[in-house]
Amino acid sequence: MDHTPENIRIRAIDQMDAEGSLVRSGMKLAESVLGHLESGDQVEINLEGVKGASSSYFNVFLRRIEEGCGIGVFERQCKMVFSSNIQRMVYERSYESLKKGGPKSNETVDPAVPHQSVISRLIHAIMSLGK
Amino acid sequence: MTPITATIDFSVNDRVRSIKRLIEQASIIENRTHGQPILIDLRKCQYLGPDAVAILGAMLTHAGETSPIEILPPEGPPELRNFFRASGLYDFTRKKNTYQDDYLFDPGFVLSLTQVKKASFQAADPIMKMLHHFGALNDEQEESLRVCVNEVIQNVQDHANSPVGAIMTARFMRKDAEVRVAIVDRGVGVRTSLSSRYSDMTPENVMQRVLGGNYSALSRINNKGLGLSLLASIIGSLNGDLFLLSENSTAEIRRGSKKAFMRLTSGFRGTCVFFTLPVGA
Repeated sequence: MDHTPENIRIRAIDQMDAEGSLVRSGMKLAESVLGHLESGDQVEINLEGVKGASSSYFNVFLRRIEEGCGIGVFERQCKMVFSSNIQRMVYERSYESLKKGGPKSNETVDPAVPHQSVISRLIHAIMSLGK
Repeated sequence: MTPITATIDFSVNDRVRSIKRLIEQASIIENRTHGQPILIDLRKCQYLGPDAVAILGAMLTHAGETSPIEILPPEGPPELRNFFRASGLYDFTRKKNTYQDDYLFDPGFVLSLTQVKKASFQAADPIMKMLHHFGALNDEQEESLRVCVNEVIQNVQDHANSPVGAIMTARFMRKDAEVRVAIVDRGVGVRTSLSSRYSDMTPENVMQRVLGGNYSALSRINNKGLGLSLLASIIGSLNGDLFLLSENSTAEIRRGSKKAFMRLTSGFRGTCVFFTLPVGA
């Protein structure tokens, strides 16, 4: 069935993790937005009432949306509504970092493993031995 | 068993020298044997701020897991003694009921030592409660303060592996219209954390790099190396001060001055973040 794109408004304050985790709240917000973006809706994401949103909150939100719909979706279908200049600044830093591909790396990093926790590095090293 | 005694007697107000001396003097407790009692002698101490309290609080919280602790309170000016009492360090003293107030000090001006183990939207609530009590915060200031605290606590959770989490304290300075915040952990330190990903991190360059941004150990999917650089940007834009100390490296940003970086000969196991933000109308 065809879906007629709609204008959707999502309040971030309604998508907070029950324990207040910044990371899980960012993920929860992304999940609430993704379906609408995939359907072609225009989504206004309103951050009023969300106090202290850190870079981690926006990093996981942006990363999940990018994984699902690509980075271009932010300009095509998303409108962010901020409740303060600081909040806007934190978001913009996260967004710029995403566009640039994340943190600097050097020769000690295997580019095939973009996010290396200790465990993921260990697993990758073990798997590399078998190749 | 004879206690191991750390005598804290510094009196200077220069932050780097004060903290360096505090760490040198307090580090003696790291040499204790298992279960050996600890005595912290503050009687000759002439200076205590949230930074010194948070460092001592973090060291003692960790050490207290294996050793009994006692503190001899400062004998300095009344304000110092009463700040000590409000800071939470007082709880380590033996004679809790004999320390008399002779100076009217509203303990509401001080957030006593608070252990924070998880990064959350609520992490800065105790500081907000203190400041709202005095009506000392507008919306933009609250947002700035919350973001700064959350960035630091998230770093501790993601990278530090600190056995005590983060130890936080704060003091509202009504006369200066500012809040001083101190957050200290006993984790691996910034350089050690980043060394797993960057082979060329040194005590000389690590602070400059992290304050510039885009350096991260990538311990979690939410990491992009933005936290400390955002902290510096926010504090700088609001004309506040920032002081970082981790292992052998320090960084200081003072209002109206250039960033200053220094290497310490005797380092600190963990990371200390101290910042000052203006509050009030």
